[in-house]
Amino acid sequence: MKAKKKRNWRKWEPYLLLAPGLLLIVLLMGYPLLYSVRLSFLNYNLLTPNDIHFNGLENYQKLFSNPDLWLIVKNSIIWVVVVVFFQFLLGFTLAMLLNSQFRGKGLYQSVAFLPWAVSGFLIGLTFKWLFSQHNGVINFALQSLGLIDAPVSWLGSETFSMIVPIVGMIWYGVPFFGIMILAALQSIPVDVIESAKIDGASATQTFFKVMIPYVRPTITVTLLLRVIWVFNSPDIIYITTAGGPANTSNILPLYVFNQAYYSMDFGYGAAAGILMMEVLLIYAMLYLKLTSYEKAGDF
Amino acid sequence: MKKQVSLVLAALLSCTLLLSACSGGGGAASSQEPAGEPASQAGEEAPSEEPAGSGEAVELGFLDVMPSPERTEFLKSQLDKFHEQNPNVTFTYNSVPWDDAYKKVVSMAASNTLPDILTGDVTFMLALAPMGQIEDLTEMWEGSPDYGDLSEATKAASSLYTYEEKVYAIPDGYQTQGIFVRTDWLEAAGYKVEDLQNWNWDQYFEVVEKLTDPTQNRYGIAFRGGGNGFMRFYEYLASELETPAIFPGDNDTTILEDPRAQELFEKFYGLYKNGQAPKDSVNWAFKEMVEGFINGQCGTLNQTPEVTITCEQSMEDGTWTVLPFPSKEGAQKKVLLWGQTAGYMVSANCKDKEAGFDFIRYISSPEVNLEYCKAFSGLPLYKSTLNDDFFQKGAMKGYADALLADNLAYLTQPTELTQWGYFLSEYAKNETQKYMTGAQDSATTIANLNSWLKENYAKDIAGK
Repeated sequence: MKAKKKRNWRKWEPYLLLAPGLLLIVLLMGYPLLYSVRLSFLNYNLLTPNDIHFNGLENYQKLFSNPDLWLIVKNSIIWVVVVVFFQFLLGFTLAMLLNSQFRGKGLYQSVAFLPWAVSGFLIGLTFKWLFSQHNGVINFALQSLGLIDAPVSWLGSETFSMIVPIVGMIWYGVPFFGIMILAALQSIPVDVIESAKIDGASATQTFFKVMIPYVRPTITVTLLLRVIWVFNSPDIIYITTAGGPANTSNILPLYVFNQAYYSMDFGYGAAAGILMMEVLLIYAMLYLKLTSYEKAGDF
Repeated sequence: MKKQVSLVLAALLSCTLLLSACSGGGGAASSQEPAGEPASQAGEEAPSEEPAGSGEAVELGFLDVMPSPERTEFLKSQLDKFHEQNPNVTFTYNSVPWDDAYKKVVSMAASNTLPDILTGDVTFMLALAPMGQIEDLTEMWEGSPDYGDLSEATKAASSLYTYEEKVYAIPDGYQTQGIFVRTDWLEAAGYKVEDLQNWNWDQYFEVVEKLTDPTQNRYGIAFRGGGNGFMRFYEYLASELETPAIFPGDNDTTILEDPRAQELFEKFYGLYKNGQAPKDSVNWAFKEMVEGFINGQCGTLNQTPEVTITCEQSMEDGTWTVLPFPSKEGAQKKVLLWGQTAGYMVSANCKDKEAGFDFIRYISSPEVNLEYCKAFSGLPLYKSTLNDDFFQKGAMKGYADALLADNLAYLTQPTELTQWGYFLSEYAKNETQKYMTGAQDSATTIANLNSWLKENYAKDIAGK
């Protein structure tokens, strides 16, 4: 009987040990999340505080009937895919370059990682000025090189408006990948690389067959995190184009922000926030499945 | 099990995203929480016989939403002077940058942490009054000794400081629109500034066209295509139709339903579409427009008197001036928009409301108001002070005379619409930008704007 009781206790022991952590998660994440879900079903506008009531799916109907929504979702996807792709590519290149000994490496490394320490708002202002139609350095350089005849309105064109914040965001995020991948590259034992060379592996084979498998867990995690962070970082867009003209550079988080704070319609803002969460949830699940996250290795 | 762990992990990651998205604005705002600074020092002047407010010692928080070094210095000096006269009242001065102020203040109101006295424009008042977060100042203001000296312009613009016919914010001084022009460009184009003093809209359009020369990187107008840009079109439309209201009648018919509205819309936005404004100006708001004028890119700028300070600092004397706002040719009434830079409000949670009222009476008195307006190129609230020498010469004379004119029609804004601020900052901006970029035709744009106004009329005005 005693042994049975002990077995029952042992069965619950892991859950009890996990309880404090789970309790914190429920308090700090679960409650606000559920509150947001509740808000999304309410007519909750701070400008009409006496008219807060349950309005069913009205906020979602309003959201999905917004003709600009799909443009904003499309922009969000372009924003994330292009930014993360180039950040990763350039970050990986940076890490490979820094994964060797050369004179002045410390200084070069510090400068290369500097963008990561700069405020997104400051980056937005800088790139807005660089790409200004008539006073910007970019148009001046392109005209001086004879590549364009007249100054291009980068910020005022529905075709180019996404380019400015995308370039700014790529510049901002390259060091993140650089730092993470460099750390992973430096953890590869030297003898493994040397063994591969002794066994006759070419540089390409060493890179793909030895180095990549070592850094794969880092790549998996950094890509997962970076996609979420980039998706959720509208600050550079806010400063450069404010999502304009006509929403052509708007993305979901900025849309939620503007809806919630200009209209004070927190119910509608919450519905758009829930849509964001769903998009990210689907992404995270697909990503984890496709990358065999559990088998990615010990990190 | 691994699958379940993955699902939980995916859910948690997404929760993190949602939470950070939901707290984005608040976080940004709280990160800019201004550090409080004591504004009051021991006074030198003899205190008044009657202490302010309840008479008990009280420390009031004061929040300014439009800080600049000069304005902060002025406001702090007035807080000090009031304290000298009323030693029982001390102040803690705080400020928050204008760009973040609205979000910050509304967040504070939502959490019942508004400071005792605060400044803010009409959008702040319209957000805070319905929430019951600011005090009704009607009785206090109407009972003040200088109430009878208020200019007609002040009385006509009551929608700027009232909500449901109650006064909630006392204006600090007015700003009205005038047209900044490059005099050297005008002369080169064959114009004399004195001939344009009573110009009409058609002459204005002609000037803009003649000043445009893209080959020299010169454009006729610093166009406002970004937030609140619709107001510039509304001024023109109302002026040309001599109808100074969005809803001219007691029903939901809007000014945009006038048969001439579409033609006037196309003419006004044609300034941008026809290349008389830089292409970037589709996103321009206040800062970019002023920069566009002072850096020599644009020849005219529709702006308020405070911009004269920037022009004086950044441009050569004799290269610019301010012309009166254009009117419709042959019109009986001159339709004009004017508004206060900010209003003074008392929080519903003010620690000593009477002391708060006393301070607002003090800072809104003709003497202090005149001093303030002189310092910041504002236009005073009172008839007596609009006739002060300072406002009867130079660029300010045109502005002051405009507010003293007897044929003035105040361009009203439908402040009863709770989402009017959102309409100007977001909805109308996006719709007009669609037209400016060619993504939408003028008929659809007008129809969409009109539908929005009608829907919101039904929600906020009809039957009330």
